[in-house]
Amino acid sequence: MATDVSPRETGGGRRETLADLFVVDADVHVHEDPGELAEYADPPWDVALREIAKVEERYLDLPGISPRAEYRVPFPGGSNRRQIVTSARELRGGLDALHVNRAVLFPDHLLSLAMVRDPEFATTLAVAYNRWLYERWLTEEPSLSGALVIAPQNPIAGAEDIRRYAGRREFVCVYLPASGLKILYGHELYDPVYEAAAETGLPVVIHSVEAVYPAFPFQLEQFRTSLAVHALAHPLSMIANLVSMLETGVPIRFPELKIGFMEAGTAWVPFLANRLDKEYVERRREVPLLQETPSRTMRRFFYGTQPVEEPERRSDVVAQFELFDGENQAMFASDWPHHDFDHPQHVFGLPFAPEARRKIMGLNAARFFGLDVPG
Amino acid sequence: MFNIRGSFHALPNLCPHQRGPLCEGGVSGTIDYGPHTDWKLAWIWEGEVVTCPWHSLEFHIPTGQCVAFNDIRLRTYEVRVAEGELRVVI
Repeated sequence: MATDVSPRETGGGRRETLADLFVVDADVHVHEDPGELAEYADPPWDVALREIAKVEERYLDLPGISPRAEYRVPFPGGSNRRQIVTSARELRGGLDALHVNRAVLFPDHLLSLAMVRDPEFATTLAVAYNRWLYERWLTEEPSLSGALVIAPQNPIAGAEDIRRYAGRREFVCVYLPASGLKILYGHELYDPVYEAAAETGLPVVIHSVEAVYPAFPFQLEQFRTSLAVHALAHPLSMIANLVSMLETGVPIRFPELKIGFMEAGTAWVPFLANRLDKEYVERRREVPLLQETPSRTMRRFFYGTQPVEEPERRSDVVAQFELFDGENQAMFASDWPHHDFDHPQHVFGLPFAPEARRKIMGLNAARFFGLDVPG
Repeated sequence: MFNIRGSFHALPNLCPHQRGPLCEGGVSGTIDYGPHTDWKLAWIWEGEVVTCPWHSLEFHIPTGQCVAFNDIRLRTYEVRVAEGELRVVI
């Protein structure tokens, strides 16, 4: 795969390229093989996983673990690119071509974990996945860091798993699956997870996946196209969860907890900040827990850039980032190898000031995930 | 380089979107719809559309026209068949 690392002119005339930067990719995806997960799963769930492994899967669509109700008309064509990675070596090779130094790993099938109806199976999947990721990916390749998955169906077990890996630097955040989530992440039932994360120094990341499901905001069945469902599901999911967390004051009750939002781009951030500030004028009494305005609270959250907006006038993206202090709070994310990934060269090539670009391409993520910055 | 029913076409292997290797994508037809199709979905350009493997942008091979964005058209290179060789004119 050809990657063109065109230099960009910096103020002093020295040309900086993507290869010069410390690039952290805040969101890449590994592909879980149910047969491999079976080796880490408590009985009798290992039997179930081996059964699932016999089924032919489609893209992020595997009956028993991540089924998609895709009543869509399949025409031939579309991308022929391989959109999954199945080994640490394959991932590291792909990231080398993208000039990414460090990456944070999220799952494929377990993006849909909130929709698994058997809570015990969901818990088993999360625990097995974390062990599998640790042994087969994170300890194989030190530049790959992990998002520790918790099943929202069982926050107590999630807290236990977070503490199990405490101090092990291979995990750099806790992943909160948001797709099809019945109870949004502001609810107090998730407090054990926030407590454990804050205690062990891990940030939490909310990340969704395209789905149609009877849980807000995924009741998207009347839309006929993926264009519609994908466009709406991700940002509405981030908005719903962020608002829920502000309602119950999660960032106030857990002041050391860092919170991040992934895979919805960033255009929704200034919209939501402004909208909530206006509400706050009138309705502060409903959210007395908030010590400052919603927008000021949101300034301390972190946001993955992918899928980065591509307006006709490119400089609009830079203006957009200024509206939510993206220079300090936005983290480059590729979403490699998924269908809508952003090539780092593309984000690198946007007309940010050099210092802002360095922060967005790696330093902000280093701050959020607690990564060592070289040099 | 593409061979469409014996006719040769050449396109640059660089997608204007994020510089992906567009010529490595699959070739098929695509969907059209409008007054010109009598308001019926139509399958057109069978074997004449290449889809960039990175983000599925479609290009009409003979003209270089980007199907989704009217104002984007790839340059096309003339291909000559001479002395048993295919020659691209750059």
